[in-house]
Amino acid sequence: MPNKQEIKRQISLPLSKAVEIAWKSIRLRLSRSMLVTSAIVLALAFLCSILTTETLINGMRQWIQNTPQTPEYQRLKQVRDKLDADLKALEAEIRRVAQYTKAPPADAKPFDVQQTFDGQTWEDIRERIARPLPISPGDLNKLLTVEPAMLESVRLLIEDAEKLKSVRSELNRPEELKAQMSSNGVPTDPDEIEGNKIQTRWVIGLALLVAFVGILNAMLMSVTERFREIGTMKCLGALNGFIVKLFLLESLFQGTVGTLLGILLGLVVSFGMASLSYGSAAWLNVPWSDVGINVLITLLVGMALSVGGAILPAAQAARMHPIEAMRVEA
Amino acid sequence: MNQTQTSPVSNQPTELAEYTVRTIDVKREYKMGTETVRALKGVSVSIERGEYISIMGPSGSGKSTFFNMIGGLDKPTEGKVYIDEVDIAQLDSYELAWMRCRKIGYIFQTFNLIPVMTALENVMLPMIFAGMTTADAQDKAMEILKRVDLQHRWKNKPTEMSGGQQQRVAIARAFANDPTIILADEPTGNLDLNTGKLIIELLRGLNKEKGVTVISATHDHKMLAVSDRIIWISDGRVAKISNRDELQIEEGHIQGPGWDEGKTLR
Repeated sequence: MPNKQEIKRQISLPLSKAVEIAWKSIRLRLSRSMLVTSAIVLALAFLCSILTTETLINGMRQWIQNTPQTPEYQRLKQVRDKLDADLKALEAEIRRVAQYTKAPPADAKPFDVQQTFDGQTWEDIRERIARPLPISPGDLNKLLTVEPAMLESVRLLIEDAEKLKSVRSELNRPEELKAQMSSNGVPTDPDEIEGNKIQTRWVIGLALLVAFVGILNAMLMSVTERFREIGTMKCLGALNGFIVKLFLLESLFQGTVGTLLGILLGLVVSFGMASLSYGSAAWLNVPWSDVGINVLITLLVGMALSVGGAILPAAQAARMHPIEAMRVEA
Repeated sequence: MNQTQTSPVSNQPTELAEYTVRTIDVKREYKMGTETVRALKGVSVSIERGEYISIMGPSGSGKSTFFNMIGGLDKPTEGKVYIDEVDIAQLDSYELAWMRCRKIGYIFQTFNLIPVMTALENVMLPMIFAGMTTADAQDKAMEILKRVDLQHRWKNKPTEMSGGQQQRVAIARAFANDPTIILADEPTGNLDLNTGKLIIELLRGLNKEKGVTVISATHDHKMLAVSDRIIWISDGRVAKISNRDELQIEEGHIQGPGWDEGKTLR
């Protein structure tokens, strides 16, 4: 005859069992609950891109500030000065020789600039070296007809002028980038940066809020649409704690996957936007360790929010009476 | 004759019969705002081991409340409910969960299989909750699936099965931990006539061969036809308990002594 002694207490299942069931369930549910996952992805992508964009801009600011102090920059400055001096000497020499050049003899073969310089005219060359020619194109033709040996000096002049051009643009990059950033409304001066920091914090706070609301809403949805399932599990002998654990784990898995996708999207967006705005300059000084920290922060925030957002609805669902859970119409 | 008149406080085994479920003057009140709804106004019923019981009653009669009460899903405001001679009011949530897991098998109108699990996993779930190892649970679940003739569909998800097949999986799941009571809430309500018939036959067969008590809330006259007894609930009270031989069941009509003559169902 059965009696009271026969009733035992339901055992708590080990966490591994919950992990196993939650994992099985989420693997199948993940694609179905794309809506929930996409909310997480978008929210975390927003947060990640805001953080990373800020990091990239800081990297560029640092680069603008530090580059003029580097030995490389100093060396380039010396190269520029030397090239400048060399060019001036060459130009003076060409002008001096041209001054003493007589008119070419009638039978002399006239110098053909296009043949010598791969089809370029003196105009093209002037444009290429971004510098006025030392003497007029006509005089240059005359000089080279009479004194073919001067061709070497002219070639050297063109070569040096091209080098100088690239060195100058290299030296100008920090200033150019600074101007570009200012025109985009990104402050670069220390005082302005200080003021901008408060603004940035607000934006990051806003991004966090968006992420939190998005995830909380997503988790509430996923729990409420499964009231019947929770009720069934309770009828089958699941303890409240097990149901809470199950939902938190599922939420954690889903949150982690969503967050990882969000981070990927956020990185693509922030690097893409920076590349569009600043071209290769965006990649000059990427503080990779800071980017890594951002990724870690976003991951932790995403995981914490998805678990945190699910605690309340899951606990509420688990506390529900099984019959009430059953009553909900599908 | 089966309405018990024994002392309400006794939870000692009696010598009368082996009762799986005993309710003694059960009352249940719900507070809805300031109003108190009296869903059950004193119900005393005893159900013997191995009986096949149907509970009948119009909606709002307190039938569902009574059904939930004997299923350990609800507790009475007044009176006692004994399941296997245990007063369920004295159980804490762990003990209730243990009882739901091992003593009672639930079958629902909407099947309520876990959608992400296969037929086999659904049947295994109560065994897992009971602490069985996965390997043992698999073997046993397969054995039960064989009994309901679904061993070939063990890999299928509920959405890949027909309503009748889903309900058979649900029945297999209800039998997972060899319960003493099967509670079926309108088990044929969502099924067509022939499928419903098969389900009823299956339940009746399992009832006979395992000696399990089957209690079902139903409107299905086919279900009533196989029942040992029918408990008619009306206005929160037991209106009548009739034995099968007292019943005349016609297509779509049920006439029982003391019941509204010729009342049309459904």
